[in-house]
Amino acid sequence: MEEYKVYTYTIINVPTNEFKDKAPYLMAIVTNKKGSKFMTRIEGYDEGDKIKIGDKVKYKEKDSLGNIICKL
Amino acid sequence: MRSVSVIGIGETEMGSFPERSLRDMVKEAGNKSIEDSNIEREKIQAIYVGNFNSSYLCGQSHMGPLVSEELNLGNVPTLRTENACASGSLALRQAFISVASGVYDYVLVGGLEKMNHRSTEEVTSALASASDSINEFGIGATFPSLFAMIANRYMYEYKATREMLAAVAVQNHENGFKNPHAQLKKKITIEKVINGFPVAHPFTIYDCSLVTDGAAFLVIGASDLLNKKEKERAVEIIGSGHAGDTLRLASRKDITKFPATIKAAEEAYKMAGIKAKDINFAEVHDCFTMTQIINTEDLGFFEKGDGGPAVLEGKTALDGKIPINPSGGLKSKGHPIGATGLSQVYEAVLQLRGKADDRQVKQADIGLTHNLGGTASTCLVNIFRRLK
Repeated sequence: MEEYKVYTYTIINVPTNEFKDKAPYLMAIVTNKKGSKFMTRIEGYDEGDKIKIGDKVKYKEKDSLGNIICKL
Repeated sequence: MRSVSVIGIGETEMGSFPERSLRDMVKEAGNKSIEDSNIEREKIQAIYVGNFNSSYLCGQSHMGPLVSEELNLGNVPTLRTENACASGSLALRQAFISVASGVYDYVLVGGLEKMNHRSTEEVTSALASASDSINEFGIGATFPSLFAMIANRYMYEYKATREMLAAVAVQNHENGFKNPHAQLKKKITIEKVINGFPVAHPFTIYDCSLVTDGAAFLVIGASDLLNKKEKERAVEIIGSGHAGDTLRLASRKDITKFPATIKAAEEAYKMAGIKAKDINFAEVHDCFTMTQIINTEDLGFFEKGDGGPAVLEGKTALDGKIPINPSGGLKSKGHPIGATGLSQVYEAVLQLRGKADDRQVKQADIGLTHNLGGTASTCLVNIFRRLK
């Protein structure tokens, strides 16, 4: 499974209506092997988990809109 | 190009007014601006009105005719502008071009938003629709989260501290405390900001601008048509700039600065024939604490990386080297999306007229307003000076 590097991130506590049930959740801009960036949601985050710029995350799946979803 | 001046200003108090109608806010702010201009309303030839999302939040589109009807302006042509949080400034930009080019002599410019009658989640969704609907909004991003990602990267690259961000909120609340139109007239401390309710790490509720109902209106006119009395109160738009960027944040090479601001400022400074150091005070788009620091660097007031320390050192305070957001900004005065850019102009005109009371800046010859749309995907910059 492809790995990506965290370029920046945030943990969302106040979500939109559509993501109400997921909060708090982790989102990031990550870099792929070729160096291009994209935005992703990273699943498997529990409140209090430490995350920092430069961490590696893994490909999990594509959502119904075609976005890449990652996991810790 | 003809010289264009702001000749009348009017705004409502900013706040949470779920019982106030759009029409009620238009009536108050619109009529105040026309009365302030001292011109007969028959002279107004067109209306440009900025509104972000009343289509969704209030079920009301087609804002131009609503404004015209409420202010008894008859059959004048109207136009609504929408570029997210920059919608109001965009209306001014288009109106400015129409007068500068000679198409119209007098134009009414308005902006408004009504949000507090909806739930926090609904407002968050309405705002998030200004980001990419698939890869940002569609994956769970909110506006606080997009700017929080910018903040985490900025803090990593430039060693900015949490205290620097918090100090922006503290300073803007100090100023807003002195503004009778401000939504949150309350002083806060750095500790209170840092320990506030978490919204999107590192931001707490105190790093975020407010959800605001309000309206702001201006009357602009060709400077050479003004009589002596009108000229005394007129404020000339000596520079105007407008630039854009990608809709998606991740598409940009560097997210710690906003090229839309840099380009819009360049255009405005060039038109005005001045440099950043000539600006006496500025109203900048502090949608989040981090944003204000980046803005003051992009506008050329500070070197890259120096914007944070400058706040802690008091350089951007009311009595500092370059007072930023004397009105209290989006943070304390409020952020009535479609009205925000015009409320910034309202403050700039008050300051330049020397009528800002307790929050009057000492040196007020040249002022600047800076308004962002989305994740700095749109930027408008205006520079003002008392008409000579």
